[in-house]
Amino acid sequence: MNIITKSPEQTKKIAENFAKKLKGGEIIGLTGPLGSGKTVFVQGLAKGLKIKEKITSPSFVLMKFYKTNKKAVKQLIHLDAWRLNSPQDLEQLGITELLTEDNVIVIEWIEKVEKFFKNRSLIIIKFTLGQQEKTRKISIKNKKV
Amino acid sequence: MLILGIETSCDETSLALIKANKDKIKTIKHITYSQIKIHQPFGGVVPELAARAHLEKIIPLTKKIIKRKGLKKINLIAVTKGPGLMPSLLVGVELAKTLSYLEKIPILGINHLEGHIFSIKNIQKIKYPALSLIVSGGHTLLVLIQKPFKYTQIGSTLDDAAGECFDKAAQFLNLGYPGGPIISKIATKWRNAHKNKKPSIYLPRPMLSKNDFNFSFSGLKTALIYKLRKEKFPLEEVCAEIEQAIVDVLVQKTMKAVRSYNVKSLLLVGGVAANEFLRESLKKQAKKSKVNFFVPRKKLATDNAVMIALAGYARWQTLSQEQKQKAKKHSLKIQPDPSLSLK
Repeated sequence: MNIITKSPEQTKKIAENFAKKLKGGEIIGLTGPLGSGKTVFVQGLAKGLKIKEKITSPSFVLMKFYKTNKKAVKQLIHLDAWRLNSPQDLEQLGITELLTEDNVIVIEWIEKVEKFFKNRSLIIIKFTLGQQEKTRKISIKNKKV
Repeated sequence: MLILGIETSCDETSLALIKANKDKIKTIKHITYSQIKIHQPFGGVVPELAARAHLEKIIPLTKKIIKRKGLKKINLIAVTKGPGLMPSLLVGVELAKTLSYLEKIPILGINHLEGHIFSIKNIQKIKYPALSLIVSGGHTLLVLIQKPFKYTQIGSTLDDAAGECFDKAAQFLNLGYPGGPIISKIATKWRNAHKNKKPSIYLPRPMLSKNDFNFSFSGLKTALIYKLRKEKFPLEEVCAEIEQAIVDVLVQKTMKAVRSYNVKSLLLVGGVAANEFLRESLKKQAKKSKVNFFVPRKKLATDNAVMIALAGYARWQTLSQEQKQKAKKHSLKIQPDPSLSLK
């Protein structure tokens, strides 16, 4: 699925609608250059999951947890692999224990750690910068195992 | 009193030993792992933040700082409880509990952000109400300090932290990590050679609505990317403009808060407080507004255990005998809290 958005608000809206279809247990990988809208997308996901807190960049702290107010999903785990160097770094964050049916995990810069999930189904969302400053192309692919 | 400080909230593994006698405080030992890294051959410094990495360092660092007999002399352990990364925080907290158990030493769990406030040397000279800008790779927030230990967050970033903005801009420009010091060095060199000249590239100053003290830096990142897509600019001028834009936003929002809340003192703390241009700019504005300006030594601006020990000591002083007994009793129950907020 390919979508063109013309503003951060539109990206958030796409994400919000996407979130409403989540059932819990999904692992969502976001890929795209700096400034392409990955964190903005997560802000939209949060709205769709009725999360009260604001979503800020987890680039430094690597991992943030948010409780949702949507029945099927207990918490949203927002990970950022920008500062990680290998899939093994993910293991040391205790990620395996977090891959449960109650949680939805969204990982920015998924390409850095994709190998870690080789035996699991992933939803890969790719972001591309458009010609115009506010335009982005978002494509959603299901990588089923 | 001998206080052991432990800080492992994110990247740094840091331990410190301070000796305090009422207002006289002396740092006996301070080891932060990144200082040791400087002596290692450059090969791409990896942020050493995973639990195993902290674990590998913390035992040798602990041995460097206290001998087994020395442990008996420690009166208080101050450890970062949060905010931060859970597996990293756990290493520090579990070390604290182990040492506490061995010699029945009380532990105080410290808020990392409060720790930054205590990185200032002459904290007892602060007149209240005070305002603190806490700015680092992971945090950008404005905190009103009505009186000692009474904090109210009045604004924070809605997306990227200021330090993160420097790092991401540097990565985009292929300048290496950490980006802040690298961009700042290039920017300073250009500014000194071109006094009063403006860079040829213009970047927006992302300001939000008038009545709010929140920040936003992700727009600066996108503006930089799009500008450089269209046109080539000299690297030194790009760095100068990035630093100027970030500093402009931080200074303007902070000074607006200073005036709004009519504070008597202004504190600049956190890793980005090591940025010379920010220090000078804010100092100048504070002087204009007749507000006392406080900033830590650069070594204590980035994450370190000295500030944690200092905050621990200050907090301990406020406890009654009963509260101290209670703290002693509950020491082994302390748990990290990755989302701990300043209240």
